[in-house]
Amino acid sequence: MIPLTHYLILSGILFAIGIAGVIIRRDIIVIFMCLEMMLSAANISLAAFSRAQGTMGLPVYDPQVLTLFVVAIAAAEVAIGLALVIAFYKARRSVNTKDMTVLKD
Amino acid sequence: MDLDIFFNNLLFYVFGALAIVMGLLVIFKKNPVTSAVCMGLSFASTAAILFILGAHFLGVIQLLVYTGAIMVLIVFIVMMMNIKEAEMSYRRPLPIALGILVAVLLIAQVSNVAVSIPSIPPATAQTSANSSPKAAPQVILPEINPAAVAKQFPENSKLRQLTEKGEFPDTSLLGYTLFSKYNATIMIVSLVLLAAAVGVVALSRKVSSR
Repeated sequence: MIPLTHYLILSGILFAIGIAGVIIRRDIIVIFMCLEMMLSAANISLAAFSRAQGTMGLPVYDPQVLTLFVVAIAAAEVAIGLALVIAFYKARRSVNTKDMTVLKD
Repeated sequence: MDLDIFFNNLLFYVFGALAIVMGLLVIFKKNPVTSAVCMGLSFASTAAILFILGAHFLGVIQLLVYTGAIMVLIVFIVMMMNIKEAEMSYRRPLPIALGILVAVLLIAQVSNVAVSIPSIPPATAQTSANSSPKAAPQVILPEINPAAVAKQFPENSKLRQLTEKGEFPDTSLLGYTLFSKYNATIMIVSLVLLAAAVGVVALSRKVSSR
């Protein structure tokens, strides 16, 4: 079987790739994509701990409930974030973060 | 049986490598649609890893919500806003170096914590995969043995009947915890989703010119 540490290291690598994407890229849509990748990496870690805590024969389902809530909140956040990006694009016609430095014209 | 386990372990590394490669492609591809599709493939590999872990319901939800809703939404937004390809001029060494540095530091810290987890002692003697609590620091995931803990479910319930037979109804077990212990929390999460939906409609209204 695969040890728990391998799952955690994979989750850490995916999270670190997400953070590197947020720092490197200037396009707000790609920053959103890397944000979702970070949340998805946390899902792997939670599911791995859920299985690892199940020493009595069945997994403990509390971390999986938390994963479900993380998925729901991520979906809500994407919806509102993209609505904000569209509203911004209508006002400024640009999605570069260099143009998003002031609050109002 | 041995070959079975070998291929099972191999699949984890295959999907893990696929998820990592697709994640790197999200960052280093210029076209936003290509980035979105690579992100979708990374989510699908994550769903496969969740299936390997035995979290079947969560794997399907990951596939439906992340790949099926979030990635599709992002592709719609990219196509609607007609975003041109980003000019990835490599004359910006500072953000790229900072990004890689932060990522490497984070991976180092996570690995340091992950390899030093004390092994969880087995609660019963039936989980033969774990050895004594003072064993090697590698935590092996316990086997799934539903018949051993079937007694915790109420008599004459479907869960009791299924687990006594040795089956593993993942969705029903998740629902058993979700709707008994986290009943109020899921109502609050549904209110959050309602607020998000109302917020999206409010944010995309046309501002009426007075």
